[in-house]
Amino acid sequence: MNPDIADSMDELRRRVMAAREAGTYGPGDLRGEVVPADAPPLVRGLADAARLAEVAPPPRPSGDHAGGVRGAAARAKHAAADLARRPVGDVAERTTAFNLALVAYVAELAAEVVELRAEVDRLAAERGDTARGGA
Amino acid sequence: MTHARIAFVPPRFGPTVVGGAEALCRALAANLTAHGTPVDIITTCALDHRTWADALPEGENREGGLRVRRFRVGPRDAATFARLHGAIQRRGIVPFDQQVEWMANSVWSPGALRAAREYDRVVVMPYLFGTAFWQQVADPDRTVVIPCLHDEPHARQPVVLDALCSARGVMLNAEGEGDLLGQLLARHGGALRNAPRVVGCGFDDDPVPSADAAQAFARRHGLEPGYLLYAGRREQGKGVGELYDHYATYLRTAPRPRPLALMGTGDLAPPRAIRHHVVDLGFVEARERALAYAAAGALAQPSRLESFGMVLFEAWLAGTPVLVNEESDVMRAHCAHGGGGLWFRDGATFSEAAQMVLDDPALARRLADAGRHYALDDFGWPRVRARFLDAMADWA
Repeated sequence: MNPDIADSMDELRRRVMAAREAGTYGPGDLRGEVVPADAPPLVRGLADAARLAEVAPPPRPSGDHAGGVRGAAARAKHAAADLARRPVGDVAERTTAFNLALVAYVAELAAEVVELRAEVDRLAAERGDTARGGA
Repeated sequence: MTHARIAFVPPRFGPTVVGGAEALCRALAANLTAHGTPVDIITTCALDHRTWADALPEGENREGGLRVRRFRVGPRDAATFARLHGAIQRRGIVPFDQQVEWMANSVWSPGALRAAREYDRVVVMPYLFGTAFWQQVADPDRTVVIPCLHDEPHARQPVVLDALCSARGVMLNAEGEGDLLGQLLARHGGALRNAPRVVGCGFDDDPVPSADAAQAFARRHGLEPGYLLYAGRREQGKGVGELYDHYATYLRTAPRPRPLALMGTGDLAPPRAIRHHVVDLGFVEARERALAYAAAGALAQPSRLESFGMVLFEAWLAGTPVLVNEESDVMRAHCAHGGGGLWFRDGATFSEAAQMVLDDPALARRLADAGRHYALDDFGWPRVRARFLDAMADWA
């Protein structure tokens, strides 16, 4: 590695560490660094999952057919993101955050399935209309 | 094969087309042609990489010293392609019939395939499009691929790798891309016909724009020199959403934050929280682009999916250091070896790296100088031309 870059990257790491300790950055600004490098893999994995839950795109605007599921997804994700902002150390809380993130993800998938089914129904109805119109 | 007839086949071609593979195609073809190795362009009539609608007339003309032959896009079902493209992104490797259906509905052109038979060597790029895939399938002996590989599920589909293995040769843009290709083939269990060769894109030793010219450019756009610059398509796939998030962190934490200028086109608008600090330069003509880089304090490149990182070189040649996403092996390697920039992994490292480079002119100068030397030493045109012609000769 270019020696100037090695030094500059070291300096960058020092600056990030100092700023983190000073509270400049929150979990949303850090990826995988909210926990110490020597923390157990489970703790590190949960922190990453919680971070993912925080940055995941919001559910699309709810339609009549899927509003309930999407609302649940949004609430679960919000709860997960909220937990992710709390201090690291309580594995139980982290586990909850992880589970909520999973629930949110599954709920979003379910919403997509509902939406796709509605789309299939709509297309089938359209085709039926076309066939009748052309007959 | 000293007098081989060579054609390059990109899926689209034109002065307003923005994209790394397209820019590489244009630059390499033009430079080879200008230095005694004529290259024709065979492409489609399309310009928009989302719709692939025919936008230009079919036929032949000369553009930038190159003979350009355009053919209509072949029949395809865009909805099927989009569905399968998305399925691959989400699920990874899909069943064989779906892989073929995916490529069958990608952009391709029967006219281009017919025209390619008139040449001794047909260089297709990038791997992801039907124009490249079907040329490899139809005439592998004649075909050389510049895949511009990214670490993405589409590159792991067996039909893609089988096609690559069948081609006469594979040209890579950087050593980092070679590492990725090695991993993909090891998992796939295939082998290339010939060892791949790194060629890449070349650059001229043009002088760095003057400070006065750079300042005048900045002021024409309501900026002061020293801004943060993004250059490229504004799409999620290019990491622009992530850049917006990181820039918001920078705005919140830097004592003297600089504006973010966006050069290029795309629909991904900045969110409300940062909108007042973002300046849209839009599409910038080639002759002005060096000024946009020269007036910037640093170029930020958030994409993970780069096989070369053309904009890094453009920035270095204009005297500007870069900040890159550490998840791009290719770009991180360019910076680590060449010394032209730092890499970030999240909002905090982005903010601190931006402050280091934008607020320390001595550091910025050292990084920019190192980057420029790297670009000209390893990717000056004479070396790139020699690498291309050597590979062609070895694969004759």
